[in-house]
Amino acid sequence: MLEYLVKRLLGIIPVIFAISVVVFAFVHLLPGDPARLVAGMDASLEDVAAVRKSLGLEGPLWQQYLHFACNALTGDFGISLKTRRPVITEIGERLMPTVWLTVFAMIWATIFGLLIGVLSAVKRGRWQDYGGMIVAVSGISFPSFWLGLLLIDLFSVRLGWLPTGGYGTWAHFVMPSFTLGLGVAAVMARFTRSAFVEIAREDYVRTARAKGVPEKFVIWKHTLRNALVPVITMTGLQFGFLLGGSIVVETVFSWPGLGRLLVDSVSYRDYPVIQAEILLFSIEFILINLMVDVLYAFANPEIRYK
Amino acid sequence: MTAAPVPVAAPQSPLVRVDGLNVEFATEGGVFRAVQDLSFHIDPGETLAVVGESGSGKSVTSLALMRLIEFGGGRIAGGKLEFRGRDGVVRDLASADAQTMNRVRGNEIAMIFQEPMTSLNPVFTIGDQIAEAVRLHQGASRAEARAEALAMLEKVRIPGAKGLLDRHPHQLSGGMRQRVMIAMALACRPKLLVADEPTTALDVTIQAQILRLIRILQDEMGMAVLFITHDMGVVAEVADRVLVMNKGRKVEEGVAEEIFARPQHAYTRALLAAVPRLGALAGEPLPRRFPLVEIKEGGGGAFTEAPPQDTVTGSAPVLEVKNLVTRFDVRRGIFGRLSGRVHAVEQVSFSVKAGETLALVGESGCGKSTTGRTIMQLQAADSGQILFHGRDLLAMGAQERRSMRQKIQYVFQDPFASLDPRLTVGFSIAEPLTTHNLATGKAVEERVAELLRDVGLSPDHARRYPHEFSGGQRQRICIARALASEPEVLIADEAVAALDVSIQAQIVNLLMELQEKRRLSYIFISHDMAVVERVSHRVAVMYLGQIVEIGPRQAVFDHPAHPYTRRLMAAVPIADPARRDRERPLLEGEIPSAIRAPNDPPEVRALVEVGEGHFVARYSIGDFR
Amino acid sequence: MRLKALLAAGALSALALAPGLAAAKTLVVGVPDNLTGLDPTNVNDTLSQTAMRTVYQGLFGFDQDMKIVPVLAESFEANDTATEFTIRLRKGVKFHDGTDFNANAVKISLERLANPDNKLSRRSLISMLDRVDVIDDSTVKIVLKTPFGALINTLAHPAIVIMSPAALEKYGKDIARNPVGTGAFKFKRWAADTFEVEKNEHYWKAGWPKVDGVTLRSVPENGSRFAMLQAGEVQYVTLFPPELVPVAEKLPNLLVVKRPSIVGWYAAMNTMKKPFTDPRVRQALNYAVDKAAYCKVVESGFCTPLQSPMPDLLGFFEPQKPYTFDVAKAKALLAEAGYPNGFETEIFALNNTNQIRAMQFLQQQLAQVGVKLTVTPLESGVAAQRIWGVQKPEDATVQMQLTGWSSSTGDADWGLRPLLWGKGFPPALFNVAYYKNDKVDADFEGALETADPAKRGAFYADAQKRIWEDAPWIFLGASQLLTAQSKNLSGVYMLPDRGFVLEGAEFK
Repeated sequence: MLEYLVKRLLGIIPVIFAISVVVFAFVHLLPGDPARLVAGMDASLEDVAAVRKSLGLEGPLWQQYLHFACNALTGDFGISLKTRRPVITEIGERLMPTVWLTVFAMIWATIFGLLIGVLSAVKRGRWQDYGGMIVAVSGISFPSFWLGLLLIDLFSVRLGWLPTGGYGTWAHFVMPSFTLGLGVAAVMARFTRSAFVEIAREDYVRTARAKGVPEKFVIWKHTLRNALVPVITMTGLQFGFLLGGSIVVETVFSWPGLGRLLVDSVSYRDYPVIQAEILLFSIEFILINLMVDVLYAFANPEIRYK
Repeated sequence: MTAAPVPVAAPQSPLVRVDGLNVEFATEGGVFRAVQDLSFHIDPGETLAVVGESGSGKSVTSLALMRLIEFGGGRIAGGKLEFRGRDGVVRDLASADAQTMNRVRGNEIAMIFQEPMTSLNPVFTIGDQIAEAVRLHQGASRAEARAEALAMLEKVRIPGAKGLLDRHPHQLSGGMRQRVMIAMALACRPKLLVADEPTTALDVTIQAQILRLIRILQDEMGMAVLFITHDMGVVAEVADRVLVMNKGRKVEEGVAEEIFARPQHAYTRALLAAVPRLGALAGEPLPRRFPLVEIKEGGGGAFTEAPPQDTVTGSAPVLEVKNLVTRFDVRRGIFGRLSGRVHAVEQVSFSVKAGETLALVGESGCGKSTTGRTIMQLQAADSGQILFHGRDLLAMGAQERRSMRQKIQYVFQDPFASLDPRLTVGFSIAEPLTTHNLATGKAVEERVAELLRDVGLSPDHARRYPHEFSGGQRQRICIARALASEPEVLIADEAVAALDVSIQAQIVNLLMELQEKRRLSYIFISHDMAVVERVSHRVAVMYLGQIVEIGPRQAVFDHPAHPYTRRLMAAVPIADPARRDRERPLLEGEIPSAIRAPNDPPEVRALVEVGEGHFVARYSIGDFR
Repeated sequence: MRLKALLAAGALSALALAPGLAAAKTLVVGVPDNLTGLDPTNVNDTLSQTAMRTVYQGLFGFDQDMKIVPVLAESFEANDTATEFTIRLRKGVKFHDGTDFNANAVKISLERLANPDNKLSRRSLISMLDRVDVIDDSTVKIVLKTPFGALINTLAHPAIVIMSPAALEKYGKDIARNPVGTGAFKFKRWAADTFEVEKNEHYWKAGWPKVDGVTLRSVPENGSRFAMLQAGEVQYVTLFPPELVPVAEKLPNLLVVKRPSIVGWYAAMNTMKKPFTDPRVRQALNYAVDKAAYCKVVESGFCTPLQSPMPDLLGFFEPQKPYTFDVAKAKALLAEAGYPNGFETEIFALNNTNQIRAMQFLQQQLAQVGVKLTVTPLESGVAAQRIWGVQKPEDATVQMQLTGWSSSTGDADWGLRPLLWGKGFPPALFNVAYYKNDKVDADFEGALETADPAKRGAFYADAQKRIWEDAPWIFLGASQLLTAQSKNLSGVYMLPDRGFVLEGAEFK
């Protein structure tokens, strides 16, 4: 297991290198002079030159890359062009709101998604199944933008129970994490259902029943444990996506997270922040994938011993 | 041979009494009655074999007894399933509630299934799965249950049982898994073991081991066994009494010896006639078709014994394989380091003449299928020659090789998977005709019709799709398709293994008939020694990628010279209870693996001639030294 | 209502901390963007500057109508050549850290901004500053290197503020995170998307401010901002979307306020490229476009047609004779210029909804006079490349460009010169029309050489007249700005440059 982990971690290095090249190339591939874009319409020529310098756009390409990569390794992604604060501070400030939002959304989505999925699978073809799957399909098809505004209108404007947005007490988490998690819960429910239905046909489930295992253990132990194997992969992927910060949910609920930072940075052309965020997302994604694979190995002994 | 042991005397009341059982399935086409008005009983300690072909309702019966049928979409529509428990109380399981059933299942009645590979839960350890039953039914603590699991593993004669407790199913071979299944089933010392085709998926030597094991444990624990099987050989081996089923109904029931010696019902007779019996052609040099049996309504059947198949012509071989080697690399880790090699085919040489059938026999993993696939060039050879009329296929250019390839055709085990479900049967058969420019226009249709007639189907079947045909018919279609390109050599890879015995006999006969008509050469790849005896002129026995013995069928079967051939023959169950020997020692051990270290090819030496055209390996291979 | 009370009082008391239910004495404002920094001399966006106006003050400022008013100054005098300005300062003012506001503070702040070594982004506003002389504790003399008649307007720019010299000394570069000024509010906190200031108890304007503090919350989504206003979490939102106006006007406790702006929209024509070299063609296009329809279609009616090259709220504005919508006249002019059947040309702008809609509007209008217009929405990088990538005017590929402009100093100079000066072709400035009229150039330059409003007014009147006749642009309209607020709030108003003034906030 340890050997496996070390191998996988080593395998990440070339991937991160490739991503860093792409992220670096990003600024150089854009049309126009990024320095001029950043400096703005009414900037003087010398201002533009100063911006070019601060973006590290001088010297041969390889030198620029080395400079970028070495700084990035030490966590120095430069200074935000917009706020003139270190990029790492900007990101640090917004990382936790996004992480917490994602974690809460994933927790409820996983619990409800699994429950609905299992219920639908066990009651296959009956009203519980149809009900569960209608909820799931609508969950996937609800645009979160629209849902968010709907919730705000109901719970904040009309009922006055919850704050419309922002980051603070637990009350602030309710609507954003619900909105963010709904799609995940829906996907999870559908995924769990189909995995569960498939596993329920397996011979070993019949074996469990033949042993006299009570039905609830047949469902929650013998069947679900196996159905979880594919579900874990899906959960990991969803988690990775959400950790990037949901642009829509963070915008609707004025959540000070990474998704909004990315939107702001893109519209302001804050290249250092964009570069750092993309790099961060990529690494997050890779690490989550690794985590999923490790979990996967725990859930699935066939992989564990390979 | 001595007489069979006397069946256990029946005590006053039977363990199980099934009365008027009806099982239904709701399907799109309406209610399907899988079991109709079935009644039987099982006495304590006896073995009742339920035998029948696919669709006979035998498995449904066993699942109904366990009340597992409702989880598969079925319903007990009537009848009683009386079971006398340990406490002496007789309960009707057909109307028992879920709680009662949970107490009975695994505790008083246990079950093992056909597919040991998929019947164990892959995410739990062997130990946990065995212990679960003990904890459920006996309220044992975790440690006690584990100790009991270990005891059970030892009971089923698993070497190194202790080390196995914490392993997962995928780390075990099929035979081992079936032993684990048995250990699990017997953990609570049930009064009745329901064994649903427990050895069908296993190799013949492993099957022999498992059958012996069940028998021994049955004697030790004094339990009854309900044995479901389609294999008359297995029935003869295990059964005290036999119940024959057909299309959901009981056809005949009786003491095993009686059923085999004096079958009353025509269906039983037909079934028995179709069963290939090892040794049926002892003393005969040539193959012979299965006797044809026509079942007439109301009993009675006519046997037609076929003449010997004397079809070999010429002395020059059509196909000759010389020193063929096929290996697969096993790679591991992120850098794909070569960690070993599968020596699937190792220095294999043989030849086939026109009109001759050469059988390649052996157990799973012996390389017989890879040999066939390599000849078809579905698999690249590492070295060696494949000579077709003296010309090396491996040395030819791609163009020429393609035209040669049409002369060698292949028939697979699974007739459904090898036909495209979206194409009509006629189109599938016509495809080789058009691609090889063997016919055009109207001639294609005529040719397809002719081929369909040749394989015993009607020309208007051409417009239908594969799903409209039964397994046997599909295999006929596959044969017609193979014949379309006018091959000289047909490689039949377990072509009859998936079929019911009666269908199997028909297909074998069809192949032999076609051979007679067309002077085809067959390479008949099979694990079934009895079928091989019927069809082949010569036999090659493969073990760990090598031919250990090759020669005329009569010589090999009557005087097996290699110990592996002898073991293989001894393991074949004989469809005659009078010849069974229940005191045979329990075989142990597994088939060794053909994976070796990267640069460590196995030793291969020339075979030694022990009779005319009969060659045997006289050096150490695998377990045989 | 009962439930709400129950929840607020009971088990869910955490809710009470939510902004919506907090004490209403703090004004919460919902804005669409985030602040970019806290040093007004080094930020480029109006929002940050406006936010900092709560903490910092300048010598001059604007009232609601963009008229200059003294703030930390009391009065000024200028010499005839507009190179020396003597300013008398307000007495008895203290910075938040207790330091006295005096002539020395003014000198330090202004010279800091003008010093190129400090690399402050707003330096260009007073790059002509030579030095600031301290005459006495409450009088300074600002000396310029070159004449600059628009200085007082420039000093009213929100970027030019007076900072506490002690704080500048103490924080150095970190002043950008620790603002200390003389304003009505003291800086409290800025994190991610929230900016908070609290009441300055010692504010020099007695009795003010009337609220305990101000919080700016960045809420990018229009609908969310509106919802917050309805829920009472914010009391004032800026840049209210026009499509929500009908809804908001029905709500009894809300007020939608419409304000004029100094953002002018126009379509520049490259006067160095045929057929736009001919003024008759350019005039014809002005006649061919219905400006009232433009306001209705493109700006949902919240817009007024331009009456001069610059919006009417800028100083020295002179209305011109409108190019009334007249297809026949336009056709006649085109025929006269040799284009009786019109011609084909291309227009580009950014790829946002509004600008695309504006271009499509022009396309449809000009089609009536036979001018076939190709609409090209561009990503801003590509657009910038097309404008700034040009070194020589003859290399320019621009035919027409649709854009808007806001004079951040509120003065005619910055409203016209960057766009229409013969020395302002890209990449130096933003004269995309490549318009050059020596008389107009002379007007621009002359107006900068005096501080006398009468003389400056004359120069700009002449310039506006000539530009209007030369018609290097299709003159479109000036946007109006929309804000919405609680009815019980007063004293907060939006300036024409999109800034807003919070100092007078009061709850009734």
